Amino acid sequence: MPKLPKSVACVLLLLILIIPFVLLELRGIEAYPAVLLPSGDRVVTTSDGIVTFGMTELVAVHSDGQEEIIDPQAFFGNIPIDYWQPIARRGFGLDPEVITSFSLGVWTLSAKFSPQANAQQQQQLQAWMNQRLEFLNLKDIETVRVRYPKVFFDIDSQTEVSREVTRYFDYELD
Amino acid sequence: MNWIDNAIGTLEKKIELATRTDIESLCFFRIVFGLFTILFFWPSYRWIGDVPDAFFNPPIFSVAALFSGFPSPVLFLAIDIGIFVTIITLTIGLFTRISTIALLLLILLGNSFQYSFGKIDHGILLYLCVLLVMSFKDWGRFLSVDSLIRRNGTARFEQARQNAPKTPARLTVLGILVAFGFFTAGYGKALNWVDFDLSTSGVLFWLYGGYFTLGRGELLAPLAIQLEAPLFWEIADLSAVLFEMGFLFMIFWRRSWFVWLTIACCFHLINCLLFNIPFIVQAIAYLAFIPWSGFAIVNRVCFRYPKTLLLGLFGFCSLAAAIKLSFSNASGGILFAITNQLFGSSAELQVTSLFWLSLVGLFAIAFRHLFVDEQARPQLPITARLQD
Repeated sequence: MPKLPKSVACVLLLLILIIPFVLLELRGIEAYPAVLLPSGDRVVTTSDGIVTFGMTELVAVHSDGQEEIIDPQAFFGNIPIDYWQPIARRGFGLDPEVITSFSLGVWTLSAKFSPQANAQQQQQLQAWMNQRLEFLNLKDIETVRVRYPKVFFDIDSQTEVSREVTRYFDYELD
Repeated sequence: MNWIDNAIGTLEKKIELATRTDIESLCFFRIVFGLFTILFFWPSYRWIGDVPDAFFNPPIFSVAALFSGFPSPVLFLAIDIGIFVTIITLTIGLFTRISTIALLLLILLGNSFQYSFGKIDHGILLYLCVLLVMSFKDWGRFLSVDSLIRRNGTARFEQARQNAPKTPARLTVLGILVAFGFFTAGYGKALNWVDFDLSTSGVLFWLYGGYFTLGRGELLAPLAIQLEAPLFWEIADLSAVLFEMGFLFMIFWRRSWFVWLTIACCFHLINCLLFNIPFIVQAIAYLAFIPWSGFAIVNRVCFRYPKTLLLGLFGFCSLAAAIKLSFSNASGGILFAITNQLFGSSAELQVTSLFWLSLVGLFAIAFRHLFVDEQARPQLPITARLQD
């Protein structure tokens, strides 16, 4: 088999490596498979011994309004714990579909992300939710809530000074 | 274009020299790879069959994006069976190249669906890079059922191996993939973490986020949470960036490459202890660069008694298969399945920490072999018979 000139092989390798990286950095779109390792480049702020960071909580709301924190690992069962936050962030699949457009000069390409669950899938989800709550022995639950508090934590005393719920999402059970 | 080719050629040669190994080492590494997969990784995808389709959110450029929901559980069962068979055939070296390619494709397909929850995991990226590179290497030439069939007996095989000089093997592409992978991890951090501002911390983002949201509160994490030392955490931010970006520069010299791989093991050990992020599967990419054939035990025992070694491996694989089957559809290596069963899930992190610590030791020994013992021996004929 004839060998490629080094420059051509090098350009090919660079393209394979760089295109997914550029897509991720410029458009936030991650291809799979691609040679990308996790960046995790966010920061938390600390000041006067108080560190401020965001959290995600899974909460079961009883019919009397009482809240109970759920252990996500136990709730999601076989699904690895790392995936629970992305699932919850999308409203368990109920959020509307996202359509993004790319402009390539005269052409505009549209791509659909995060498909919204159809009626059948929503029914399946409802059954799954009930089954998981039952498994955790949580009875009389009306809502599964995903809460995003901002926590102010005192490092010295190892106590939470305060928290503000910045937003939340409610999944209503039938 | 000639001068560009020459410049690229010079760089390529430097990387080649820095990352080179030999075919015997690669063949032994194949066994290490197989055992590592059985003990620490062994993926399984059957659990995806039970997940509601509402969670389906595939990466836009992936095989899974061609589907409208999770496929039938039968597909995942088929993938699991395929992985089961290929891991064993790869370990004993039966149809080695086919097994390597099949394992790579099966894991890629399974992962396309596993990553359809809105998050792509990167923990096994380098594992896949190793499989990709090895698909083009002859890592089944020795210590394999293939070699016994081809050479019709161990005596001729051993004689042939001893009479032939060590055959160098290129790991240039794997080196580039590792270095570029780390660059992509370090790039974002370089932009956001390097701010010389003691009131912000990137490392603490991982610590607090993991501790409070993902339940990563084992080993030294409770102590790290109590540490109020902004300067220390700022230095940690800078060190992480320096380390991850540094791979791109260290790949040009053999010593620095090995030093950086050793630092990588220390980096993962610290991540495991402080942040409970095991990332154990990354280790297999570092292990590929170890000059295994230089170790006395590998050379004198494994290569002298390949039939006995293969019989032992076959026995071990059979036992491992039985254990894996008895743990039904749990994903992960059998060592973790056993320790989790006996000591709870926190044992996994303890085992991983010990593993990374052992790897630091292994690289120290390899380093000594490469740069102290090798002085006394003639150099390998690097350019003479490069095999690809």
